Amino acid sequence: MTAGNGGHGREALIEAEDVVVEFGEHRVLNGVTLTIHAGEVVCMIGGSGSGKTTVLRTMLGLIAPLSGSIRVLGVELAQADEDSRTRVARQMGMLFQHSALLGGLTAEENVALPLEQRGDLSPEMIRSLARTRLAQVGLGDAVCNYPRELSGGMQKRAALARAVVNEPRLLFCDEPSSGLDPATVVAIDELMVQLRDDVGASLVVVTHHPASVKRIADRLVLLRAGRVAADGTVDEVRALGDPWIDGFFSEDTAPPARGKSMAEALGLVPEGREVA
Amino acid sequence: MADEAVLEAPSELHTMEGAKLLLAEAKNEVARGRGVVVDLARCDVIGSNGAAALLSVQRAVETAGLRFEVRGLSAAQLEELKALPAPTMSGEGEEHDQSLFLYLGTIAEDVAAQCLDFLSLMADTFYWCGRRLVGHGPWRRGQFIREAVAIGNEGLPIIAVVMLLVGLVTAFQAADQLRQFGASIFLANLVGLGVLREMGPLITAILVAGRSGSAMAAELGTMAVEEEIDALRVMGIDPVPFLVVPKAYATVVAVPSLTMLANLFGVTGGFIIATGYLDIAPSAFFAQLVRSIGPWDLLTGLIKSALFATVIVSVGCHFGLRLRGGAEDVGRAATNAVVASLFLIILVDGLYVTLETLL
Repeated sequence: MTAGNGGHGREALIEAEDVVVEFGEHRVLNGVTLTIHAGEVVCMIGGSGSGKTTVLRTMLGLIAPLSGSIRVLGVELAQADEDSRTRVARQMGMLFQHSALLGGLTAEENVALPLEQRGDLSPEMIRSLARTRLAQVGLGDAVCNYPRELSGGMQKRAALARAVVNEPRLLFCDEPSSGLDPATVVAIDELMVQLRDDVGASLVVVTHHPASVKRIADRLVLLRAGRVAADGTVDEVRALGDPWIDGFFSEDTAPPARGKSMAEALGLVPEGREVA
Repeated sequence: MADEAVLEAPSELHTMEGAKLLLAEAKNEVARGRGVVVDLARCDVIGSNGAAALLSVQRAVETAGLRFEVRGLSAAQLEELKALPAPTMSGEGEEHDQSLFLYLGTIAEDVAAQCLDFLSLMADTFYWCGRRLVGHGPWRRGQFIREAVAIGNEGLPIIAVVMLLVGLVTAFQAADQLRQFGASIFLANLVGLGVLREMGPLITAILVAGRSGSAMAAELGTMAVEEEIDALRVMGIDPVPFLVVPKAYATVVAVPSLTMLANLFGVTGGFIIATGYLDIAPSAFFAQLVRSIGPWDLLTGLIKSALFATVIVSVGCHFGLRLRGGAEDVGRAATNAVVASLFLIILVDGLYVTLETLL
């Protein structure tokens, strides 16, 4: 079920083709084919265990696929040497689900880390850039705080500042609004788009928030059982009439995963009805 | 039918008690080799307890190769059962593969993978430590100092107390034996050589492995669980020079330093027994001590302690970095790090002594 694709004509930053990933004997991605174009905001949705985070981690090069190919910024990850991988990594930013700020470093030191890796910036410049980004996400007064001294929302903001400080061409966000109150969710959404506009990056966001999708997505990708089940603009995907997508947008929370019912298990009704 | 029992489901099937009752009755019938027909006419609500009981009855009956049926089902009850998701029962009751060869093969595969990972990390660590020695690669001076203080300063009190006691006990055990032969003065030889060559480096390494090796595994393991290691990789930062190298330098500096202080406390323990219990004059004890030990004895202890330090840091970091899973695995990684460190320390000690004797 694939709708139109909003990215035609733009440069393809990521081209994933028939990607298969297995953890032990469990196949998590079962032939994912997906292209991310320059400048677009792609939201990835799907039930728990559908492979959303694995897709992100595979695109980041943190997981090696069993088969298939992933070209990121023109580099085939499977065949790339360490230098090429590092070069690609430095053009990507990632906002992890649990922020993943280094506990032994202050907010400023965390944000400065990607800048220090460049090797072409003076310490003064690094400090200034890190503080500017932190001020931009509303943490101008918390530069010297350690992550444990920041609230969940503040940690997310600091992690976002770190993810964009190096002006990446690709910004990945894994459930950026999980565990945050609605006001902070809106703030984080706005920040992501604002920073995307500021640094001109493409954004790939895994989310369970329909409101976030409506607010920020140029394109919507639905993953189901390790495959791309729908891909298009939000309107195009919604028009497909998929029950899971209808449920996702009709409620403020994502619909629960459904499988066999008790009536089917007990043999009281025939099995095999259409389930999401 | 003669080989089927009709069980009227209790009206309180939706409660835990009702569910238990139905299942118990059904199992009795299965034990008598009879199939089960559950009549739901008396109950208004099935609930999740009742549905679970029905599922259990179905499994018990069908597993015994008998017939299972539900009757008297109202439209409302059917809708209720349609709305309830069925649990996945696969895995339940299935026995794990008992094949000895498969079991041993899995263990061998895991051990081989661990060894390969461990050697790869050691090679990486030596490479980056070497690069750092010639001034290349990142250098986190603050981190190195913090690690060295945590291992050295904070470990010193316990090492001092333990080594003092080891010196005292060793000397005390030997004192009476030596006195019987009129050889009390040789207590200085025993304590000097024993502490400098063996006890000092070994006990220091064991205590550092317990304190700091486990802490390294727990720290890096927590970072792995919290995705901090992945965050470093995404930023193009290799975790080995960034995280492991400062720990490696700190351990290799701190452990031999601690060993020298441990030697001092161990010899002091022997000195206390020699002068207090055997009535040996302090000057005679020190004169004998200086005669019995040479620079090589001190050096061999320090070489050993540097080797032990390498083991501690490599094992601690290995178990931390390779951790996959959740918080409970962090504790397991710390425990495994200590056990593996202790084993390898003893192994390295044995190999060193054997080589030294043979060469």
